[in-house]
Amino acid sequence: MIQALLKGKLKREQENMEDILTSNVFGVLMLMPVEIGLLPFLACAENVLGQADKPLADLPHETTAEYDYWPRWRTQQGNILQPDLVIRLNQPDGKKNIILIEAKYNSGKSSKADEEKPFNDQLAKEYQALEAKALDEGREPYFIYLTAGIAPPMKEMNDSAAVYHRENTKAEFLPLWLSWRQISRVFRGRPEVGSKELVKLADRLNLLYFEGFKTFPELPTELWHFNKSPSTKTEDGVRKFFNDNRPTGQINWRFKI
Amino acid sequence: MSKNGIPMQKSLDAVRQFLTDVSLMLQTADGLLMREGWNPIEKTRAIPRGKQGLDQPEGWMPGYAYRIYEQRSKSIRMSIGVLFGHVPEFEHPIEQPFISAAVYKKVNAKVKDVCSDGTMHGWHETLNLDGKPVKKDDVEEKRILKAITFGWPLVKIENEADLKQFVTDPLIQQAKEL
Repeated sequence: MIQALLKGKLKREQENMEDILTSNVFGVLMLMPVEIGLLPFLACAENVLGQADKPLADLPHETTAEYDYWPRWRTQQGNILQPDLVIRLNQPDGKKNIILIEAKYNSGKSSKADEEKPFNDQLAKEYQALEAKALDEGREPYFIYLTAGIAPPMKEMNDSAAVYHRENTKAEFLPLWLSWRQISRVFRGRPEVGSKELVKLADRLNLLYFEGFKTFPELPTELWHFNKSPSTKTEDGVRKFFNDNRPTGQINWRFKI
Repeated sequence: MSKNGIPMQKSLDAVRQFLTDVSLMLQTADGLLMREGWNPIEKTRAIPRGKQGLDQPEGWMPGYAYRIYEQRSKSIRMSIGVLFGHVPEFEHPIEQPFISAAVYKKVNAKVKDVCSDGTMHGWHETLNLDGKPVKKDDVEEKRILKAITFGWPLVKIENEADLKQFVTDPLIQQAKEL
């Protein structure tokens, strides 16, 4: 699929689908050695509602990962949730993590709370479900909200925090935020198979960071312009539209009246 | 293709790249300021609504891009504008693209924001693009009580660190002094 995107074989609306982006990126990452693919990317995930730290930055290289795309989870209330990706990490010292990734590209949360459904917030519901799943499996949970912005979606995340705290007054709501744009920083210039494809994908989708202003090309010494107004006739009565001195010949057609 | 066609296309491509870079810079500014509690008043809007008519080519490309930010106080605003082309309200020709940054206090929170607030370009003739803040009272009698503004040549900003050092950090500092 990633080759189809890079070669422009997908429709623009397909390119813009977050599921395809998720599949493309993590499909490549899961084929790369974890220490040069997945872990450096996860290391950029930032705790923006808490102490601005990066709790996944120092995972051991020997960590192994299991990927579960779009799992169907039944909540304690009997509802079905389908997060985009769940990654289970097993560290060499026996520590275990479960990471839920909710990925967005051009859209925001799929559900938001309102008066009729005060807990109907996608992030709050998934966060709560992740905590329950982590408890069942004996793993430390991390929730990652993966978006396309340069800046974290603070309002969305704060709104989710408020919803979460309505039902969980004593628990902390500390999702991590990660940007797709980190791909361009983490993998650019790296020689491994997969890195180049990921960087091409980031370039194609303009998932980039500000790196200054590119140099302008030198302008031609003679700037182009219409030689004369297109409606101006020359001495021989022939209208000329170009300034390269090509003979234009007599125009021998006209619009039908 | 004529001898000038290729450089012409390269120039046009460079303009598109320039606009992309301006977009990335303003998004980066969003991120830096949001971390300090200053949020954009509009989700993604960055250019004024332009004229698009056949006989109004000066409106086909925006003359500036901008973002306006608010904190808890709804009457104090922050703005970052990038001026790079035809700006009807600006009397003087623009010699080079520049950043215009401002903190301003509105008469009250109900005063409607307008896109020219994003650049404060009405009085840029007082600026030397050296980063030195200029204070002004009674900017607009019925809208804006006072403002502090400063400018830089755009080429001074080469990365996120420059943007923070020369633009967003000084803005945050001046907001405390307003």
